[in-house]
Parts: sequence; C-alpha cells; structure tokens
Amino acid sequence: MKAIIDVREWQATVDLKTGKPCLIDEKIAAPLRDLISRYPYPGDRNDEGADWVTAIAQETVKLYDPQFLYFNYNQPIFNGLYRPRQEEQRQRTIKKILADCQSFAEENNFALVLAGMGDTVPLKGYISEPHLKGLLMASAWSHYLGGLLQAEKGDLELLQKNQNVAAVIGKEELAAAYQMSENYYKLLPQYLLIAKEGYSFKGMFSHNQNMHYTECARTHLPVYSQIGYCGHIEGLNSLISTALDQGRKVLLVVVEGLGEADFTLPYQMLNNLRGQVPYNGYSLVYTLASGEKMENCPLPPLFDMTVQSELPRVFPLSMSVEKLPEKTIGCRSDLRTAAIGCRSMVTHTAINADLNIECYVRASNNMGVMLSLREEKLAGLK
Amino acid sequence: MNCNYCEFRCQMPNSLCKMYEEKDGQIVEKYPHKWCSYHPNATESIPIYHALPNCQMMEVGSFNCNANCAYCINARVATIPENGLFLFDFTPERLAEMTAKSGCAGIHFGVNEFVVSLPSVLAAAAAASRLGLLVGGSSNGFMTPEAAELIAAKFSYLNISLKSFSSEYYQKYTGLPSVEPILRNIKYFADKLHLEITTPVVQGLNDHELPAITEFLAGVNPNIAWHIFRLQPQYKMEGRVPPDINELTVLVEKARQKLPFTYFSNFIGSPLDNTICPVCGEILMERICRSSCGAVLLDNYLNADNRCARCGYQFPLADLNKGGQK
Ligand code: SF4
Ligand code: SF4
Repeated sequence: MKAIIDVREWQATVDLKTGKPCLIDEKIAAPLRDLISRYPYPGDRNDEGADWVTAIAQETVKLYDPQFLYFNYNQPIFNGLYRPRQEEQRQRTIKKILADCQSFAEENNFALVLAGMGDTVPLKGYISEPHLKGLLMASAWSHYLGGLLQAEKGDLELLQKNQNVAAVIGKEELAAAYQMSENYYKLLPQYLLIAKEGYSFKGMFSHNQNMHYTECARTHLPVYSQIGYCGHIEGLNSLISTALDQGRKVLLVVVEGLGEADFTLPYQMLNNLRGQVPYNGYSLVYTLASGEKMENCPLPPLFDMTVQSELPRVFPLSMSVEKLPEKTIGCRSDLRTAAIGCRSMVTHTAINADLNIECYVRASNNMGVMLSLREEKLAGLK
Repeated sequence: MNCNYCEFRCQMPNSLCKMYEEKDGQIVEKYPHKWCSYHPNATESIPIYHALPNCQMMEVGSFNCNANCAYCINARVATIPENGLFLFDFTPERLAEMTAKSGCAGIHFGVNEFVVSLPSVLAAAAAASRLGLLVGGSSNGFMTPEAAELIAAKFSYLNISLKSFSSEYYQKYTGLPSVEPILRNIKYFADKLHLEITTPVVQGLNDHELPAITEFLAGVNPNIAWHIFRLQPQYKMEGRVPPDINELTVLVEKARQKLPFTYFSNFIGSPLDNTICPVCGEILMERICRSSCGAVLLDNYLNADNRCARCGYQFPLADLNKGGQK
C-alpha cells in the first residue's frame, strides 16, 4: 500500500509499510494528487469536516466508481468532548450528516448501512486512582477504557472497590477465553478497565485537556440498514458481503458520538458486546469491515504503547499494526472499494480499501490529508 | 523578593507565570509536584536526533509558561489562568518509579516550559538519577544563569527552542523581552550537556533570520543538531498559512553547508529529516516525520562504533548512558 500525503501546497509519496519515499505510477497518481490538493481537511472542530467527507466522496465516485464505500464522521463526538457542548449546533450537524448520507446513497445507487457509535454523556468525574502501585493508562480515544500495567499487590482491590469502575478484566482471562495473535496479546494491557457511565480514566497517555462530555461503554448501538438487520454488530458484515455478492453497492457509515436519542432514521439496536467489552473506535470499524471478532482485530480496544519500541518498525503511519488487515471488505479483489474518514489512521488501518482518503490529524492538530492506494487495483482510474 | 528562575526575575507577589510565590522569605512553587500529563515518547519525537536513537522517554509536563508565544501548540496547557486543569499529583519518587516501570530510559520534561516548575523538576530528576534513569527537557532557554547551573547538574540533554535571532521578534510574538539570555544559555549548555536546537519558522516573520542563526550555531558547535520546524500556526496565529516548503528547503540546504546536521521537519514525509554523512552523502539515520507528533526512526545505518558504513566518518552520537554530562 502506497500513500500520497498532502500538507497544503506540497505532497510526498511514501510506502506505508516502510515509511520510506516511493514512486507511484503518475497515470494513477496525477488525478488523486489533484483531488486531495483541492480538498484540504477543514479540521475536527469544524462542521465543514462533515461536508469534506461527502464532497470528496462524490469525486471518488466519478474517478473510481467504488462498489463498497465507507464514511466516517466524528464531528458529533468532538462537539462537547473538550469544549462545552453546543447542543443546537450538534443537532444541526447530525441532521446534516444523516441527510447527506441518505441523499448520497440514493443519488449514487448505494444501499446504506449507518451505525451510530453512541452518544457522549456529561462527565461526572475522572478515575485516576492515585494510590495504585502499577501504571494506570488511559486512552485518548475510548475515554471509558483504562488499562493497568505492572499491577502490584493491593492494586486490584483498589480498582474493584472503586465505585466508578464497572469492570476489571485480566489479560490472561481474555487470552484463555479467546484465540488471539501474538501481537494482540502483547499489546493488551495486563488488566483492561471499563468505567461506569459518565466516568473517564486519567492516567498515562491521557489527553492534557479537560473533558466536558465523555463516551461510555455501550452494550447496544443504533443501526439503520437498507439491507436487513441482525442481532449483533458482528453480524452486519455478513449482510453487507451478501448484498455486495448480489451485485448491490453498499455505503457503510459510522458516525461517532451519535446515539439512540438523536438517531432520526428508523433503526434497530444491535448488541455491541464481546464478552464484557464493547466494540468502539477502531475495533468497531474493523469488525464491521471484516466480520472478525474483537480478539482477531489487529489491535486490542486499548493498547499498551509502552511496548512500542519492541514492535517491528513497520507501518509508522498506521497505529501499531504489524500489517494491514487482509480480511476486510476493503481488500476484496473482486470489488472496487474506497473509504473516506475524519478519524485519521483508523480509515486505512481498519478498512484497507483500494483507495482510502483520511484527514491527517494528530493530537487535535490538523496536518493535512493522506490518500492511500492499492496501485494494482487503480489502473482503471477514470 | 525576586524569583530568580528565569530572566523576568519577577518581584513577588507578581509571578508572571503564576507558578511561584514568596513564603517565609523563600520563593516556592504554588503547585509543587503537579503534572498535566505523562506518557512514553520516542526521542525522535521530542526531537532529539543525536543521542538515544529509537529510545523511549517518559514525557512529563506541568502547566503554564513564562512565555506567551502567539503560535503555541500547547496553549491549552501553557496559558492556564490558574489551576484550571486536571493535574496529577506525583511525588518525585513515584514519577521516577513509573518511568522505570514503563521501560523508558528516563524522564523528559516538555509540553510546557519546565522552568516554571523547576524545584519539582529537579526533585524528580534527582529521584530519577537514583534509579539510574536519564533526564532531559525541552525549553525556551530563558532561564537565569543560576537556574541553568541547577539544570546542567541534573540533565543529560536539552532541546532549546531558539525562536528567532531578534529581540524585537521575541517581544512581539513570544512575550519574552530579549534573545540575549537564550543565546547565552545555548553557549553555556553546549559545554555542559547534549544540546539540540529547534527553530519554528513563521514565514515572513523569521525565515530571513536563518542565515544569522546558522552563523551563531556554527560558532557554538558545527555538529549541532538543528531542527527547523515548519510551523503549523495555532492559537493566536490560527488561520495563517504554514510556510512554503519549497522556499524553506532552499534556506535549509544553504544552512546545511555550514551546519550539516540541519533538519527540516514538522510536516509529514519531509525529505530533509534524515541524518546524512557530511563526507560522502550516505544516509546515516533514516526517519519519517509524522508532523506534530514528531519523527520515527526507520533505520540506523551507523556501524557499531557510530561510523558511516561507507566512508568511516565518525558520527558525533552522544553516549548519554556513559555519564551523560560533558
Ligand atoms: S519563573 Fe520567571 S516568570 Fe515565573 S515567577 Fe519566576 S521569574 Fe517570574
Ligand atoms: S515557550 Fe513553548 S510552551 Fe511556552 S508559550 Fe512558547 S511555545 Fe508555548
């Protein structure tokens, strides 16, 4: 997989596996370079980010005519997370995203499957448990998840007694229950922690911003589907695959920060749990894209980044994966696939489509746009 | 009574950074041992390129700052009016112990200007040394000679941000009154510990100063690592167009004639973020810049005694594990 990165008025091409400069056939690269240079990412704090997804998608349809398309929107989650929630604006954004997706799907003849990742709730407090002897880690993505590393005597009791902690799940417990890859096991924290609704972990890797709202562990997620329903999030992929096999085009959309209360399309609530752990963020997108269960995801829901320097030095722009996933719909050789997302690296790392266009935002800093492509599939670009 | 940690030498009770007060005839911290964040970070991300390649340091920040840079990327931490952030309360021993547990080689004080929390920083540094850990930091370099001496006694490396070569620029865009103390401290630290320099470029405002900074740094140490940052304007400069990469590349190439280890980064995929052998042009260390979260080391081609594998040039890689201070 190769990538073209646009940092405004300047572009680089890199091999995603090695991170080193590479060449891309200019016949393929030229229209794609032009595309991303015309659509700089407006930023996460800006509702225009939602328009960016739909606008770039229209151009992608003209260029590549994908049969499977994935969109990710994150504007509803950021409205309220690190700044006071502006409810009216949030409602407007959600309404617009849902309407845009519907009209896009209709105009371009896609069957629409749209999942909300769950609404955020007002923050009740942080869990920092200052008396732990081990290392408490937090996630900058799923704020209700925490991890405990190098636990010592008394640590578990402290966490179990903490009224704001909903679950403490041992790595070994998970490893005994599920088959997982060596890398997945290595990246799992010694204990995975789940906060009660309204609470968020503060520890190593926490964002240094105050939160106003937080995500919470959702046992069920709202889903709108034009290709039928199933009871569990894990089953949606098979419905999508069947529709594609039948020659239908499918648009899969994930909207972060969208819950049941604001879901104005007809929907069903789908089970979102793997054991006690909810699908969220990367694991949710990957499972929708691949049908694989959580433990077969390239990364655990919260990963121990202290082992980073021990990992193979590959895919430096793709989170901590050893390789890009091969079992997603995005990789199907019999289909043209594309993914467009506001959640930076998750887009190409979870979907791995022929063409992935994502914002390049790190620690809330908008640095440009990255387009990754499977060169051999894109020879037929219009 | 004056605070003598930085060159503002504030007279109490008017602590400009809001972090110090006078108590019982002494200058003390208002918020000792309070930290806004901590996480392992690669040395390349700091950036430190000429020491500890591919090594993790526990990056720790407090809050507030003695400067007020118009483009500050960490303004949410550096400009807190009072104690308005969630803060961790860690004793020096706990901070050092957590660093050791995380597998990091040491503590790096960054995020905001660490001089505004200097007693806590020095206490944590002492605890880290007792556990055999290294200590380093990123600073705007505006400390007093007295503070610089305390830092030099405990730190193994520093990255000083030389934001400009002119006091007018400092006054207008950083809130610091003069470049002179920073230049003085650069010369001082260059003799005491491993030192690297970062210059964030705001096109049209300080890019014309790069030749003068080149001359100055060449006089300090011609082998110094100098990181020229394509500034992504934030905070009060949000909306300003980031510097033109092609135009800055010309200036960086020119600087490399005098300072071969000049790097150009803070944008994804920069082609000028590798360490190149000044004798034969071979790549010695290859990196990819991931923009604001810094670079990653992709390959280190130096041979076992840090020589260029092609021509034998001895690369000046600092060995901080063998003693640290010069
Ligand atoms: S550190 Fe500097 S700004 Fe802060 S009180 Fe002391 S002299 Fe003033
Ligand atoms: S010195 Fe650094 S932390 Fe302080 S205001 Fe300037 S950029 Fe921000």
